[in-house]
Amino acid sequence: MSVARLVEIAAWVLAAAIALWMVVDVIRVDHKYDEEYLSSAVEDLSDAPNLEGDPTR
Amino acid sequence: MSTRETVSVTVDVREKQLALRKVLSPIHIWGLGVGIVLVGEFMGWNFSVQKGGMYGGLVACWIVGLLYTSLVMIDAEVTSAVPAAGGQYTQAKHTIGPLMAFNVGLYLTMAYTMLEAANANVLGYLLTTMSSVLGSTTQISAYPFAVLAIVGLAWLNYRGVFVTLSVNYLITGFAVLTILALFLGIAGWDPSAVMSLKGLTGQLGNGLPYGWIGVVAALQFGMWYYLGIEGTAQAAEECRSPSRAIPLGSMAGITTLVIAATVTWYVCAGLLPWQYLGTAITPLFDAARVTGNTALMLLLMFGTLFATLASANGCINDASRAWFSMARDRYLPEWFGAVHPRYRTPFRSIVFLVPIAIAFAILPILLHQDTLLSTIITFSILSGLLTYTFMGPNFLRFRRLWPMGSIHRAYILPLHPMPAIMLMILVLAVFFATFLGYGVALLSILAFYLLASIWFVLRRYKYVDKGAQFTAPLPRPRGY
Repeated sequence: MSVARLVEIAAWVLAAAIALWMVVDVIRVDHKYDEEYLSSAVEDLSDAPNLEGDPTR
Repeated sequence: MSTRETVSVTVDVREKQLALRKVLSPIHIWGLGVGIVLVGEFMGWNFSVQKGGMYGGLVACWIVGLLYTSLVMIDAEVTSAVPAAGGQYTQAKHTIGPLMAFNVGLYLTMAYTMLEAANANVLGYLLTTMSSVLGSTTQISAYPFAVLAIVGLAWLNYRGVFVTLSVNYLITGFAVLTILALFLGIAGWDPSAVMSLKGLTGQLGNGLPYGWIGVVAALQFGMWYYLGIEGTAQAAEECRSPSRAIPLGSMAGITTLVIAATVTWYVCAGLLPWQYLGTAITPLFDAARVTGNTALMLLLMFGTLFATLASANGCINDASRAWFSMARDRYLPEWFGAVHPRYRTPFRSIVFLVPIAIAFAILPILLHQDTLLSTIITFSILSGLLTYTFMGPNFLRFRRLWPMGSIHRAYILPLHPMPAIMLMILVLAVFFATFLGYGVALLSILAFYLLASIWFVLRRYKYVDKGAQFTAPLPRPRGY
């Protein structure tokens, strides 16, 4: 088997391993945490300059 | 309730809520914006020379540069006032309405995902070419490297935004330096030293071979110099100080790009005949090869490679933020709006877009259809152009709803309304140019977005969380 083929196979194996890691982690997080908690993010604008500049406050 | 109690309740609520991590600084914003774009300097811009000749390419570079400068300044003002993930999607949501916001979010996701796919495809091609240059007699397949690039960069994005954009800053910086190295290596300050003056003096045969209509036709490829710089707005919610980082990073980015674009044109026009330049796949690398300098060739080879990687990396970051923001407001299934409890990234959006990007990256190779790659790139460019179409009117409305003095702006767009009007006129000119070259593709893409809009109105709008989507601390708009 040529070096080129070995490099190709190595790239496939690495890509598959990384993809598998991500999928497993997604499933693990889904099982471990409550869906409401995972989807609790809102636009966090606590640093928006309007907090101090808003004339209505 | 006392101040201490208020603080305690706020902290308690925040502990039960996930948020994207605020870790980015202006250099990351620069790395994100320039990183997505810079690949266009290494390949793609040169098709403007094919359409308009050497000078046609330069005029397109500067006219489209004006379009993007207006766009970046507009983005800087709006994003510094409403620094939320989603960028232009969030702007549309606050100033125009849900249907516009849905469309803009979709344009952004498609533009970045298609560009990511094209980058991965080109990366595979570059690696197989490099293996031939390095003496391999076996033809290496581009598939595994295109797939590995997408999956590997998605993993980086999945694990955290700080490292992702730090990597982008470094490899983008290296790629910019390789362009400057080429300029210095050929003594670019002395046009008669290494360069051919015939390419630069602009005679009738190479300057404007098709007249001014050629310049108009060149505009669509002039976009390659800057396409994607608007993506800096997507990272607003993850900046430590968005009101400082977004204007500073974006302005530094567009300045870098205008200089890099002009140097790229100058070096390539002086080293390559325009007929070849207009069709070259890797013009900057080819220009380095013409010099015969091995060090320059190696530098530009790695510069091209790093620019492609940086672009794909930035695209994954921006596409996932646009998708995540829409899901968070339930414009899309809420499942995609989740944040990873450890890495604080929109992990499901990142993973969901991976197979789509892979499919579009390997389809041109699988079907042996090189033209499919240009269709994918056209889809990306036109989706970007549709985003820009909305930004001019959106900004005029933003200033009308929240006039000067009503909200604090970290950056104020000068000469208003000139930049917004200029943006609208130039976008129309680029649309006309695109229609000349890709009329069918343009109409097909418009039909696609029309169908998506119908789906949104009929099937999806009822799920939109109408009250919860407006969390920006903006006062009531004038007239409401």
